[in-house]
Amino acid sequence: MPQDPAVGHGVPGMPRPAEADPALAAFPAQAPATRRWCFADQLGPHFLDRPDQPVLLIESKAVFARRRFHRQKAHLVLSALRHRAAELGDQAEFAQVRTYAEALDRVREPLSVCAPTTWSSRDHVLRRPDLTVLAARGFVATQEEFAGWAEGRGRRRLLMEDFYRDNRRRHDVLMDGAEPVGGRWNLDHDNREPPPSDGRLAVPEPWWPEEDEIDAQVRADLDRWAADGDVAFVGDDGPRLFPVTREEALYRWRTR
Amino acid sequence: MAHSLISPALNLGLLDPLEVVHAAEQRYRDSVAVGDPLPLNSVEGFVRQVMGWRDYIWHTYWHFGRDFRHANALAAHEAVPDWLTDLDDGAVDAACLSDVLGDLRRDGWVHHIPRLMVLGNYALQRGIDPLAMTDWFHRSFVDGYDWVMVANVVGMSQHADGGLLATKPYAAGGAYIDRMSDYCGGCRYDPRKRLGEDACPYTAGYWAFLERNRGRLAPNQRMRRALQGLDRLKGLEEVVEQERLRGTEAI
Repeated sequence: MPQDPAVGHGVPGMPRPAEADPALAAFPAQAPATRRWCFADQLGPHFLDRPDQPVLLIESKAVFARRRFHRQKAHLVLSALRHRAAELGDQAEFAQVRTYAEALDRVREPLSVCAPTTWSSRDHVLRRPDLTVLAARGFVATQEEFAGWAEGRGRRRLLMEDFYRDNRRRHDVLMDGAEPVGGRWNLDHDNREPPPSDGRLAVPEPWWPEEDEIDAQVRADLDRWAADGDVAFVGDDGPRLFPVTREEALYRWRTR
Repeated sequence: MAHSLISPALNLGLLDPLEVVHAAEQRYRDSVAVGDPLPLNSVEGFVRQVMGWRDYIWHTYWHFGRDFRHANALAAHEAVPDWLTDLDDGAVDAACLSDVLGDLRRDGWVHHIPRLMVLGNYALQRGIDPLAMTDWFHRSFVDGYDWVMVANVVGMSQHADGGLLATKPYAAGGAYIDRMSDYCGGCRYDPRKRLGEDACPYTAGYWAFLERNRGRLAPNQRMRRALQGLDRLKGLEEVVEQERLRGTEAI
């Protein structure tokens, strides 16, 4: 792709790469001898260092009161968190509180957390004393790998395509030796065929989850919070459409 | 056309992206081994979304720093209108926008392309504040998170980063929506018209967007042809005035 001199790094008024920000420190990889606080977007087994590691899960009502979320988003997140708590049983301390701090203040043992996914939540965990912050998980490239790639681009644009190829090579995905399987990296062009004239493709109906008693409780709680005026939502309530457990997620993924 | 529907599960951390990618590759290799290969373009397209786009969006969220979310290179300051905040598809006549908004109200999810082409395109044309739109996308979608939406909305959709992520704004008129979808047939607006009662708000909005940002977009080589089209457009002043009056009222 041709270089456009009007864009790229160092343009006045444009965001610049963050440097030496504490939220982007080189965090340690593991802390197996601690209780692991898992945020509601860190619910898989890969956020633990060992299968029997003690876990802290916090359900904070304040998170839902801060913003007007889609009703089904609030349901999905709460249901996923409560399903994880139920699945872990005694292995997890499950705190249903107003704010994170209420739950964290009660912890009397070494606690760790994988770097959370927003600037504000990273600042929050870094302010807590006696909380070990670990490197982020749940993505393909590490922060260091991305930084190394970006550095190597110099003043050239940070092209997704180039980063993607780097990830493919690093993890040997769809590679025949040094070459991409099929000889081409990018097959986007083949994915731009027009739809059939009747607008329908012969694609099987996806698998949809079945709700359980945890979902029923979530629905009742959200109804009550809304009725009390504590929390407001947008969008319709409706049958849950997306997985909330690893088992459901694997099932949807494998039956594709 | 067919989608995995696994973005919420990935973003809840229930699945690890690498395991998903390895499993997709394994299934492809197995299909080749038994002489019935899956289409490589489908497998590669999936792998690209998970270990390309998703990972890239995550890392750019951090790489461009704390101020990335506040970038507003096109000086867009309109408020998110109430009908959009409330996902009120009933208030909207435009077939494409009403349908997408209705799906979002019912399911909390629509595919990537209507997000970009219908919802994002609308906000871009109407000059809605990109940070407010980032928050709107975050709240309204089951797979929306701050890290997902800053790079996707500020960068990919609203061009508020001045071109860090995308080489040109994703602004398109009604003719493009007509070509890429089957929405326009029964719509009260005509995608070929830019003036009058049945002028498509996307078509007219596109020209008004270009005119408003002419100076900001002029240095971008990839906008040259669009701006030449703007120079030749008949009735531009009327189009701009019509769209100024329309503002962010439900279309």
